[in-house]
Amino acid sequence: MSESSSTVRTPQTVTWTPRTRGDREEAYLEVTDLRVQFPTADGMVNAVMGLSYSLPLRRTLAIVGESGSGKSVSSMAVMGLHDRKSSRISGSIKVGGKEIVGMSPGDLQDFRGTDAAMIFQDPQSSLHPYFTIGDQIMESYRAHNKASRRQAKDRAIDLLARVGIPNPKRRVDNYPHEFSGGMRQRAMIAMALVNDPKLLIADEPTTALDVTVQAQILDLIADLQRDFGSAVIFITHDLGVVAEIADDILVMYAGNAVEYGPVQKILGTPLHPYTWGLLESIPALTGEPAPLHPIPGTPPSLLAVPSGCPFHPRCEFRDRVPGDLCRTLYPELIPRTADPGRASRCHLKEPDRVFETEVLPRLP
Amino acid sequence: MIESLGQDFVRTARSKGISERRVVYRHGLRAALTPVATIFGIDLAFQLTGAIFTERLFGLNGIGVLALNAFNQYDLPVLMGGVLVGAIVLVAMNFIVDIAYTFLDPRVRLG
Repeated sequence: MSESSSTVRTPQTVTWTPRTRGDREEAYLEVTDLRVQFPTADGMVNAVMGLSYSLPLRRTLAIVGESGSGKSVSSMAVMGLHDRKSSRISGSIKVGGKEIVGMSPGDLQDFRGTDAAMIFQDPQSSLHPYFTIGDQIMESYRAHNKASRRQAKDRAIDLLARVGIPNPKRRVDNYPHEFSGGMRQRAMIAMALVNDPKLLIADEPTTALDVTVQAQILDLIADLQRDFGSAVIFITHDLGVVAEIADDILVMYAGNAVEYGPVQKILGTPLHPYTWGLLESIPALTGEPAPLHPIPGTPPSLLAVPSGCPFHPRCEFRDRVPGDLCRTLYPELIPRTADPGRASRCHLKEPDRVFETEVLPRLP
Repeated sequence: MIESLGQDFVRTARSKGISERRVVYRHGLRAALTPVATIFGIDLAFQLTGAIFTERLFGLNGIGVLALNAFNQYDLPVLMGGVLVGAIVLVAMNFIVDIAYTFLDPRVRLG
């Protein structure tokens, strides 16, 4: 089904950009038309295809999507973590005014850990098993600040206390395997925050944890954001988590944003069939046992993204749009209702009405 | 080493902004060394006891040649002795590697 047509690859004229509103208008993070490709033996993998958004300080953006949607790849690009030899990145990523795309490795090393920091999904495998937590936190601190071992250790202990680890003076000398899952993730958060980064990217930080611990970690991140005043990107596939801590949501599919808006509006009246599918596929916890409604089909291979709208092969509303547009024309991410603050990448007319009359009754 | 550098903790190390050299040596190499230690120990055991060709080549009177001659001459006690020495050396090397592991990998330590 190799139908990757030129409508997908031509640069879009960006007429509307997801822009999270903050206390002050200037954005700390500005992503513009980001494209990330990986040349492979099987062809060019288009992991991210023209993503744009902006985020000011003190705000949380949740990026929601399945595996392969490009959510992790785009965030790794923001951190400058992609290997220059095996990836092609174009577009612009500005963090605190600094342009990340094309930055030299030396400058990237200074940038990572100070202006922006990242925490990863599985703290068990993401922390080095051979070094103590204290060593790993101190390493990050001493890489960017002139500090003695004693000073760095004190700083590590302070942070461990701040993230809620009891007995920090003793635990700073413990190894990662001596912590429980939740404590490990707290320790990783402490390590990320040691240099006061203004941007924190959390890549599915609670996916590997128990549900009860999840809530604690979410509270912790929200709390730290208030205190440190940082911008937070929270990557997840779990819409339930999103409702708790996000200000805005960016839904990603096949390498690009398909819906954007404030969290209450997106969860209350989503406008994109993919988001509808996500909400519908959440199992009901109460009521009659009923069959599950997954979205039919599977996410497309990024080697051969479908022509027109990448979601059209799986979309039940495809035939509502006259002229076979869904198969031929790549929709733009623009407001589709009267509300200028939210946008959807879909040709459907009056998606809010379609949602209310047809999808909402089906939801548990 | 390639496998080691693909580990999640190496990605975390890079995200902290530490120098690439430190990432590769302190995080990557260090993790790759541990499995190497096992093989090193066993290999050393074999070197010590089984270098028959080397001994014949250089005319050295080593245990390898001794055991080989015993084998050819049906000299059972000497042969048994040679095998026993080989076994002791192998077990000793394994033991040394086990001890070394407690220094290399903190997860292996007791208590």
